[in-house]
Amino acid sequence: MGPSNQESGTGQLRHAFQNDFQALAFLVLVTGVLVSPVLIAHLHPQDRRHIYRTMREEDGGFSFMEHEIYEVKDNIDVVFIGPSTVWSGIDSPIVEKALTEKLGRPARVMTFGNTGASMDVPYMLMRDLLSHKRVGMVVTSVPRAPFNDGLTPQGFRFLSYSDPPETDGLPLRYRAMLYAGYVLRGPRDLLDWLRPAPSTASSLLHTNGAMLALAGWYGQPYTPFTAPYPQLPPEASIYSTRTRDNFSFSGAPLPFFQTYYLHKLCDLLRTRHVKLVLVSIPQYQERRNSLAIERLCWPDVLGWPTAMVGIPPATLFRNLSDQDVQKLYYDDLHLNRNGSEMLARTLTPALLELYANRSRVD
Amino acid sequence: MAGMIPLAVLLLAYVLAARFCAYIRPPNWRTSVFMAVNVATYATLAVWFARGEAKLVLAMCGAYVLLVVASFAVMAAVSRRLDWIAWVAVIFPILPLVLMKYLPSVWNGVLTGTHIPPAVVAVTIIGISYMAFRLSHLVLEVRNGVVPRPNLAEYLGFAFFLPTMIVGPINPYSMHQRSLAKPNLSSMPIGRCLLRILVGGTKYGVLGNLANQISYAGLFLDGKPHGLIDLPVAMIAYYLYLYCNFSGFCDVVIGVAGLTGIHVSENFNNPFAAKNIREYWNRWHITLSNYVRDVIFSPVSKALVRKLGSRNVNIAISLGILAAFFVVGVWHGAEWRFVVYGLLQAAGLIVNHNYTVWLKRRLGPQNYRRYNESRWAGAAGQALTFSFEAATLFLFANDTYLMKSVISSLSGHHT
Repeated sequence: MGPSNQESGTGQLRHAFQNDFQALAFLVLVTGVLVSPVLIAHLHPQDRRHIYRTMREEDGGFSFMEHEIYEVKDNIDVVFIGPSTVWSGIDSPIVEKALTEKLGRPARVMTFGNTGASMDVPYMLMRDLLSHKRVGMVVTSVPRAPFNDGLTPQGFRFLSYSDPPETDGLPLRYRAMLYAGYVLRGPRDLLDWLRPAPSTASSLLHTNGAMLALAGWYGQPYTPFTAPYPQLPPEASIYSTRTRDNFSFSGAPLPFFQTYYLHKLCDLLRTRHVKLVLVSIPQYQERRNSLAIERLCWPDVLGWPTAMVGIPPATLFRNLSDQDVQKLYYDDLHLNRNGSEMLARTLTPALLELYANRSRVD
Repeated sequence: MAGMIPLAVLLLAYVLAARFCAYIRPPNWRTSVFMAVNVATYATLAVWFARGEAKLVLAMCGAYVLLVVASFAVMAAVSRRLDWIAWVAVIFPILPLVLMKYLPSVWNGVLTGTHIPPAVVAVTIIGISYMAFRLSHLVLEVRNGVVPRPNLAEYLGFAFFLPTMIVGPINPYSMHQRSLAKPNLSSMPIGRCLLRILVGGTKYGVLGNLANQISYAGLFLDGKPHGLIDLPVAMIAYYLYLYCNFSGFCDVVIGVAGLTGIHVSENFNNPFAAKNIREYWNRWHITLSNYVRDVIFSPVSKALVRKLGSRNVNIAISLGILAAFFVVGVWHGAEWRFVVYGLLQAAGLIVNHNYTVWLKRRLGPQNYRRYNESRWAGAAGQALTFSFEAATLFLFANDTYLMKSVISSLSGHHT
């Protein structure tokens, strides 16, 4: 039955399939697509390293991470890991330099950043990293920006059925969503099987993986600006019973899916005895706030080995006009190179202190 | 997910109400109720999707309905005239589209002046391209005596027929009207409609998305160098993606329209089986092909034959093809790449037409028939047509930025 049957407007509605063979082929195709993750995992299990090569560079420093995880043998002292606010927010070479001076040996401080607002990708990154080397301390941040209750585009590219993230205790709908992600990445996996993607040299090697954005406020030209930063004693910015009044908690929880993988990340670090530090990165609109804002009191929520670091934005930016503060950001959420340098210099004493005492139970 | 339940209930209520119209006996009542159901659901959906500013959205919907009423008035006034003024009625429904798509500075100026949020405009004039073409084709059908001139209720019921509003097809009014005038629900069994919806939804939501993973945007925007082999992969994947996406949506539209008792023209007929470009355009976006054939190609080529004489009929046909596909290109968007895409299709069709004429002369009728029946020639034609269409869609798929990204990553550079 072709379309001509319908030309008169009174013919029969065309069948979805022109014959039984077409229907069968369609059914086989759809079934094949739906079971493709299982088939691919059995026929050609993809190693995790390969996945880094298929990730978009604008979605994160994945070439850098592949190099650091699979090529470099040296352990890492401190790794900054997390969403874009972390990727652009802390100048890790500055922290590395200070740690090198303090330790009297070459220290290694790296940034593993990606643009997705999610905790599943950092968890898997950390799992990959820890299966290849030792890490002294992990620093992350949970932005106040909205998080999806599920996979981000980066997540579905990064998570694979061949080596999936843990899902024990995860409700069925999230597991189904993860499986749908595995199905969706099928064509790309198949293509990489047929013609493996080569490894690519990362442009972030000289910044230790940090994305030091040379971008001005909302598209304005970037202006180099060295901001005066408050020189605070380490304990002043570390959350404790003495400093808890410097923090404010909005109480806005993360969505279930993200909370699940944040806990997974924390559990993973706990089993490896790696300290986790959550750092408060101020947003532009919070610049005059006298308290460091976080969603929740992370050390209470996550328990050992979690610490929290934050500086009230009003303290951080106390000698700066609004125009000066704008020179530190490229949008409301993200610091540019100026800002990341300033924040790194401000937080370094606290981070070094936490690194020195990383095995201590607070 | 829970937020979608009211939407699903609304759409189900729409289908039931529209289907109920088939049981209304006096035809005038039927068309009036059908129109009311469609216009009311359109306005409700606009309010739903705008998520706020209900009064403004309803006012905009009212303005859109008035614009369509104005098109009706122009059609009623001049469509039966035999001189060039009748073409005003053909062109009038397209004018808002021209203003919006091709004179953005004027359009944006109007929007800025009225302080209407762009999101509100977007949800109220959704599918304006398809609306414009359907209404202008309607004028031609009336003028050519294919259908009697509709009354206002019939006209609005056709214009705001919900399933075809968003992405077509450019369903001819004649087909729509015959379904409504003589309802024949048994020709559209519910099971068959539901299967069309299911298969269309699978093509649109699953298969299309899968193909898109390795099309241009899925493959080349990773900021890494790519081998030349990735180009044909992306070309084929994009072609498959576009087919699954568009034909899948059309399947859903045809299935939903079938549930309401309205026949909607098929828009795809296995385009990958096309053995030449002419056949391809009879299988791909069929309603658009029919539109440009009726509204542009036929009048232009006929006028040219009259002017140039029957000895130059092939030149007239070639120029008619060029005009038609220039419009196809421009209709897709006010960008150079769409124009070039249209002109490339025209070039392909002109070559195909003149080659066919030449071949017929050279081979004679018997040999030409044998050539046409040859499996090898058919397979070669199929491969050539598939490759040509997949390759020219490069212009369709990628804006200038993406084209540069693809080319630079193929040349070993990366961003």
